[in-house]
Amino acid sequence: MKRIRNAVRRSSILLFAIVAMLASGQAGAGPAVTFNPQLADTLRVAWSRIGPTDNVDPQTARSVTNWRLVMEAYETLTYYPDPTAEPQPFLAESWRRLEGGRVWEFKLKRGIRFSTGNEMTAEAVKYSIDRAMRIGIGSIFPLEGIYDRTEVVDRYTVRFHLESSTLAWPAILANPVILGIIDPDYVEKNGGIQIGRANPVVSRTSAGTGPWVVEEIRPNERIQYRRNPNYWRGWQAPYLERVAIQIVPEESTRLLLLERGDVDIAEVSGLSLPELKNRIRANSLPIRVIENDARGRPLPSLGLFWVNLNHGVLPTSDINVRRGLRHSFNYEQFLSRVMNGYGVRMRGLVPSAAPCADKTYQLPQFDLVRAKRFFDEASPAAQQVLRQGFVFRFQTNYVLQREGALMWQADLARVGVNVRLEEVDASTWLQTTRTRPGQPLSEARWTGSYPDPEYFMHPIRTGYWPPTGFGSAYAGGPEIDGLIQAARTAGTWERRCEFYKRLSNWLNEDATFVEVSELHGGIHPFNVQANWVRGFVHNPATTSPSVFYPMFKRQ
Amino acid sequence: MIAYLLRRLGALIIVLFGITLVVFVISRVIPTDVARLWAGQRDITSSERQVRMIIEQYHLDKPILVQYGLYVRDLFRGDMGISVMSNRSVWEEMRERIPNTIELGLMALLFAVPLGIVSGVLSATRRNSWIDHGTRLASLGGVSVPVFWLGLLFQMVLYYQLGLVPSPGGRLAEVTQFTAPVRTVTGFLLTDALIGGNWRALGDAALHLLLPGFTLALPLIALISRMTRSSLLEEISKDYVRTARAKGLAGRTVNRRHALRNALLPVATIVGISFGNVLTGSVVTELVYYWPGIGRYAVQAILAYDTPAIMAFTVLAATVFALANLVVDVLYAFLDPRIRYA
Repeated sequence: MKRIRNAVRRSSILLFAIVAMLASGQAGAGPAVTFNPQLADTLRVAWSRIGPTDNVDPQTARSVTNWRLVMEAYETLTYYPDPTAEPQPFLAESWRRLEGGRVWEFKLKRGIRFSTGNEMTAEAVKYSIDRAMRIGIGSIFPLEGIYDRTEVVDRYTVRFHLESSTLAWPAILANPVILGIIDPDYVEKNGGIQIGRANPVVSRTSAGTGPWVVEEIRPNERIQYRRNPNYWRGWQAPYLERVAIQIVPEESTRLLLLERGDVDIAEVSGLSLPELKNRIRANSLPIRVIENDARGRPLPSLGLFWVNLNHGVLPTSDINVRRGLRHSFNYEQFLSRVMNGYGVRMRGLVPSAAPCADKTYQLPQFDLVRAKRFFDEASPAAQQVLRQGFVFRFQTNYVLQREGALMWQADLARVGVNVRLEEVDASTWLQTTRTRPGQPLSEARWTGSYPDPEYFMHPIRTGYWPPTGFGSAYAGGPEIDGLIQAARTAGTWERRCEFYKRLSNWLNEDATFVEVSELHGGIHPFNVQANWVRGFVHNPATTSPSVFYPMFKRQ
Repeated sequence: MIAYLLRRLGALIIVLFGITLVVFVISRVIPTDVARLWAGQRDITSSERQVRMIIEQYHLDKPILVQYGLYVRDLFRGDMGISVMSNRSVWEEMRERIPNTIELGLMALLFAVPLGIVSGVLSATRRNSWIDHGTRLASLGGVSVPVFWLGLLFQMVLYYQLGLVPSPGGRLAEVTQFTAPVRTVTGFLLTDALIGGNWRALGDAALHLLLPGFTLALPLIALISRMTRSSLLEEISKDYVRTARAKGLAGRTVNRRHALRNALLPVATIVGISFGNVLTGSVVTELVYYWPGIGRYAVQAILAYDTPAIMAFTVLAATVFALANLVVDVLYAFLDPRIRYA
């Protein structure tokens, strides 16, 4: 008996020691984060996993994370130095619009070489876009209904023939997963064009004109770049030799790596940022959160969160229900409590950082009395569904988060609307939202690769209704398609913006979405950096040029 | 024995057929349009043309039995299909990860077998002592504490607080990857480092294996320990042990030479099956430690509804389990001369 008591006593002491050690770790000074001189020219990045990370081929890569990888190795004819500005020449020297914008002629810069050593020519441009169209699995949806063919005029001049006049063409070409120029010789020597599938060599290596060359890819785990010493824009010391990106889905692990100094940059969600900032202050960690620009303004984004209100099923097919739902969401509480202040009100489909953003958009206000009035004015069939209740399947950690969904459910219950919540995984969510007639409510988020307003109009185009597209509000019609087409072919930016304003007004009248939030401030993949990381320039567009090119490390 | 082996291998093929048929049919009868779902997995903005390409690529327009027939035909050719998510050959993707999982599994067994047997023997030979009670408590903890929690706790204390082990994620430290890169020969990092005489990488890779290996081993240590204890206690109470003692043999010698040998027979079964388990059941450990093995790959495939990858993992898991069982049965015949297979 005595022995048992002793054993229990020893175990208790051990357990107490462990708990005490953990508690001291939580509240105490924490580990020392130090600059590692052995890795002074290597940038180590830990990203979350919001999509596959397995392909750097500009003509077959899908998912936002792959796009970010592509833009480090491949470049485009145009680029956006700032999302509010016009696209600028990059690999192109200049361009001109012919036939009212139906034909675009681009003059290429001379002497630019791929990382393979071959020269970038008009043939390579034609090969790249033709390859994307032939393989058919890349992110070419913005080209559909626009692009016709490419003509090589001479070694350094290329002409794009479009199906209709498109003012946004130089903007579209800023996206490396639409036209990232690849070395045709390299592709042909490594398996050539493979229709309907990714080339296993080209998707894991690189042959672009960019500052970085892919050294190794372990799908969904790690990607390593090395510096392209012959990069056409040159290198001015100090610069990095290597960039190693780890995909670490667990946020807690990313934070551990960052706080121990095993990565230099970590992507941290808005949910963890306030606590991290407290730890940085309390423990004097050499880490900073990048959420403002040089003038102290919150960093812009091209990311939008909304909830589609399905026009094809009850109760949301009733416009009064849609209007009621828009007034039943507590936007301010969501932005402050769930988004932790890293969001602002979404004003229509064009984000505030993009041209033609509608600053006068009439924001729906949280007003349960008004919401109740709208619900009472709904049709008897819709009212019956509201009383009986309907299911809202929301995706884990996607738009509303569990907290936002619960908050909305509680507010709706206060006005007699019974919503049953089901939290589902990405696959189930995709399956339910893409199967007609769809769900009354479905979350959506969209991060624009480039800031052309048309890129944000797809959710209300009939051609992008599920199952093909993602317009699971089933909103719009021929009239709206016509407006979008008219905006595309408008001769001037002023005219285009007028059309987008009309589209915004229509969205508001139609109560197409519950416009939840626009990402704002510190929510971007480079948002938490060690103090020794320098040269970061925020650009919300996932287009050229490389983010890592100007970066370096200095103690 | 050879006839027995052939019979078992024949049965294995039938089992694999059954498993593939069930999983294949389940994956195709879900009430959704698989092609569109897969197109959406690749990108939510997939076009109708891309959906058509998927239908063609995966023969989704053909009757389900024809699809299954084509799948089995390809499987016999060593083609496990194209991953829906990555558009790459599933076998290529699995081949890159299998060595990592095998090395992790072997490291776990390296911890589990000696620690489990030694603690089991100590527990049995010092019955009702504080060692026995302590071992029982630890075993209870080993099987009942979730691996993901233990993993996070170990990372928090041993990596974050004390810095005793390397960072979770990956097989080598960044510095080693750049200063002592390992040339791939077999795909097994430890072996490749050894072949290349790359001692720095070898040491670093072994260090990276320690914590995930130990975490994966903990439930096994508990299992083996309890099994060894109960089996040894049973043997110790048998007449032949009493006779040996009566003849004047030292207690330690009787336990080691006579009782333990017989007591290890059921332990061999547990170890054999555990080998199958650690190869296919290391999913949680791989997720927590961000280990690049097939367990993590399987989870990613399931979340993405990547049927070809799920099928490949299922076939692999079934094969590993069946083979592990077969090896255990054969091992039995060697360990116990009384067992004969007709």
